[in-house]
Amino acid sequence: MNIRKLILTSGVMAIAALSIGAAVVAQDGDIVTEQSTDYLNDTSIANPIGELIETLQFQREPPYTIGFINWSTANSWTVQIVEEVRDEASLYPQIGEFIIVSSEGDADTQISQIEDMIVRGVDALLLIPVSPDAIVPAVEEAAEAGIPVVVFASDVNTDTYVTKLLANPRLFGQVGGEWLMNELDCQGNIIVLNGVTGISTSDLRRAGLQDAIDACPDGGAGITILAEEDAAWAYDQGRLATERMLAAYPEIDGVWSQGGAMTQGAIDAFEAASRDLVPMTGEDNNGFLLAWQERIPDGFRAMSASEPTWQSRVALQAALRILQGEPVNSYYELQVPTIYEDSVDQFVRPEYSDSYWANSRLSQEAADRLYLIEPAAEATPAS
Amino acid sequence: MTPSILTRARFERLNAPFLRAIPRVFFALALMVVVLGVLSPRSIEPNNLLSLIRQGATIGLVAIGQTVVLMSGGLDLSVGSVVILADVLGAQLINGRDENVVPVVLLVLFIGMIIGLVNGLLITRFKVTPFIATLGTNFIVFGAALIYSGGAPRGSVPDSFRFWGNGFVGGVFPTAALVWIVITLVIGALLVRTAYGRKLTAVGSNRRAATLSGVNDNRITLLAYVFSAVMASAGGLLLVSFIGVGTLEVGTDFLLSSIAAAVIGGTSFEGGRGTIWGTFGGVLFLMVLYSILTVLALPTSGRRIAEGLIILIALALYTRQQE
Repeated sequence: MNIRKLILTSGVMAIAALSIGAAVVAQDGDIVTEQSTDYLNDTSIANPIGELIETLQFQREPPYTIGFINWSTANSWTVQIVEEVRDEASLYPQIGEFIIVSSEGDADTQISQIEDMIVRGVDALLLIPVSPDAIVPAVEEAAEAGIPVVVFASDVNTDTYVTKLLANPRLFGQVGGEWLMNELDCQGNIIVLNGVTGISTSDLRRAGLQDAIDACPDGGAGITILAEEDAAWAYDQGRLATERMLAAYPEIDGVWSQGGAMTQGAIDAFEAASRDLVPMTGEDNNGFLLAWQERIPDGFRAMSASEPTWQSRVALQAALRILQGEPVNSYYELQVPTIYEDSVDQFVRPEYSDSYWANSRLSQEAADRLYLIEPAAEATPAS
Repeated sequence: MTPSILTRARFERLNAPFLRAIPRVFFALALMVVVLGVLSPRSIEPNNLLSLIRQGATIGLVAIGQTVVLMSGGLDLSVGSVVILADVLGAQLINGRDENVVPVVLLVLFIGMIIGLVNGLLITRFKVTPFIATLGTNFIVFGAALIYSGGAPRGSVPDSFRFWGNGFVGGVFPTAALVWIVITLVIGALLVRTAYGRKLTAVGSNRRAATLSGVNDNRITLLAYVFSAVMASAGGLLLVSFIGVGTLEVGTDFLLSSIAAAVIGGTSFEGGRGTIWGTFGGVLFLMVLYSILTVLALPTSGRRIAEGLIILIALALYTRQQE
C-alpha cells in the first residue's frame, strides 16, 4: 500500500513537473534572405550607458549553440518575447542550436536551468532573471565557465554578465504620468492601478508617476491620489479595483494604470457604472488598444507606453556580437516607445487576439500563427 | 398532539444548521457593511452593494465546491487551475459564436467533472492524500491550459454569453449575482435535505464511525471532488463571461479566496462542519473587506497586513463562539 502510494505520488509529481516549464529546441538551418535591423547601433532604441567591454575572449567559430532562459510561459508578454527572439534567430544561419527553457518564475528552477546550460556547453546564454539575488551564484558559475551571459528585461545583482539590456520602468511610469498631468493640467483626482508591489518593475513604474506629479508647476499640490491598488496587470483585478474606487469616489478625473489588461478593466468598470470615461494610461496590449480605438470618436483620451517584447531580439544580437568578438557596451538602456492617439491605428490589430503586444516586430507569419483569431461564422441565413 | 411535536422536532432539526451557522458570519458581515458605510456612504448605496455581490460571484461558485470538499474532510488545491482551464477553453471553443455557447458550456463542465473524477479516484482508490493529489492535478491542469492556449489565449465570447457575467436582469440586478444566489440556495437546500448532505458531514467529522455505520465514504468523497471541479469550471465560465476573452493571467487567487470564504463562513478546516449559506456570507465578507481596504487607502503593505488581521480576528471570534 505504501509503495503503491509512493509510486503514484511520484508519478503524479513527475507528470506535473514535465507539464510546466516548456523546453523547446529550435533548429535553425534556414538561409537568411531578409536582414534584421541593427538595434545596438541605434541609440533611439538601445542607449549605451555603461562601459565598453572587450569580447575577444568569447570569439568562436559558428555554428553557435545559444541558450535562452525565459521567465514564464504563463504570461502573454513573455510568450511574445520568445516568439520575437525565435523569429530573430531564424535570420542567422550561424546559430546552430537555439535552446529555450522557462523558469516559470521560480528561482530554484532557474538556477538548475543555468547549470544545465553550463553542462550543455552553450556558447552564449540569454537570461531573464527571476530574482535579482537568488540566482547570482549560478550566473557567476556560468561566467567562470567562460559563457558570456546577456541579461535583459530584469536585473540581477552581479557584474559577471557581459552585458545587460534593461528598459527603464521609471521612465515608463513617468511618460504616462507626464501625459496624464498634461491632460489634467496638473489638477484633479486620480486613481492608480499598480502591478504587484514588491516587484521592481511595478515599484519603479509607480515611482515614475511620482516624478511626473512632482514635476508639476505647483509641485503636485493640485493632484490628489484618491486610491491606489495592486491589480497584478490583470483584467479582473483591474476592473474590480476600479469598481471599488468608483463606488467610493464620485469625482475621478483620471486613471494612471501601469498597463497590462488593467486599463481595459478600468474602462469596462467606468462604463458598467455609467460614469463618463476619463483620461487613462495603459500599455500596448492589443485588447486595450482596440478598446481605446473604439472609443476615440466618443472623446476618450488615452495613451500607451510600452516595454517592447522585441527587446529579446536586441539581446540576441548582443550575444552574436560577443561571439564574433566585437565589443559591446555593458549596459544598454532601452527606450520607451509610446503610442498616442495619432498613431494607435497603426498598431492595433483587430484580427489578432487581445494578448498580442502591438509594439512588435514579429513577422506576419509568426504573429498570425500565435494570435490570428478565426473569423466568427457568418450568421446563417434564415431558410 | 404527536403530529405537532414531530413537526416541530423536524423543523428544529432542519433549521438548526441555519440558526447555528448563519448568525456568526452574517453578524460579522453586517458589522463590516456598517464600517464601510461609515467610511464611505456611497459605497453602500444599493447598486454598489449589488455590485459587491456580483464581484463575489465567481469566487462564490468556486467556494461552494471547496466548501463541500472541506466538509468531507479534504481539500481541493486544483480549483485555481480548473478555473483558468475553463476560461481558456470556453473562450477559444466558443470563439464568439452564439451557437457554440451551450455545447461548449456543457463540454467544459464535463471536463471539470473528469478532472474531479481524477482527483477523487486518486484520493479514494489510490489513497493519495488530498493535498498531494490535488496539488499534482493543479499543475497538470494548468499545464494543459498552457499547452492548449500556447501561452497566448485567443477567442472571445459573444454578447449573449457576456450577459451572464457582465449583464443585468431587468436592467438592475447583476445576472452573475443572481446565478450565484440561485446556485447557493439550490446546493444549500440539497445538502441540508438529502442523505448525501448528512453522509458528507458524517464522513468529514469521523470517517471511521461513518464507514462503520454503513456509509460508503469513498463514494461520498469522490462525489465531493467531482462537484468541486464542476463548480470551479462553472466559476471559470462565469469569469470568461465577465472578462469577455480567454486569459491565463487571472489576478484573483481562487484557491485561497475559496478556502478563506468557506472558513470564515463557518466551514471547519478539519471537516464535518459547514454550510453553503455560511460560505455565501464568507465571500461577501471578503468583498466588503476589500472595499473597506480600498477606501482606507492604505499603502499596499498595510493593506495586506490589515487583510490578514481582519480575517484572523473574524476566525478567532467564530471559533471561540463555537466552543
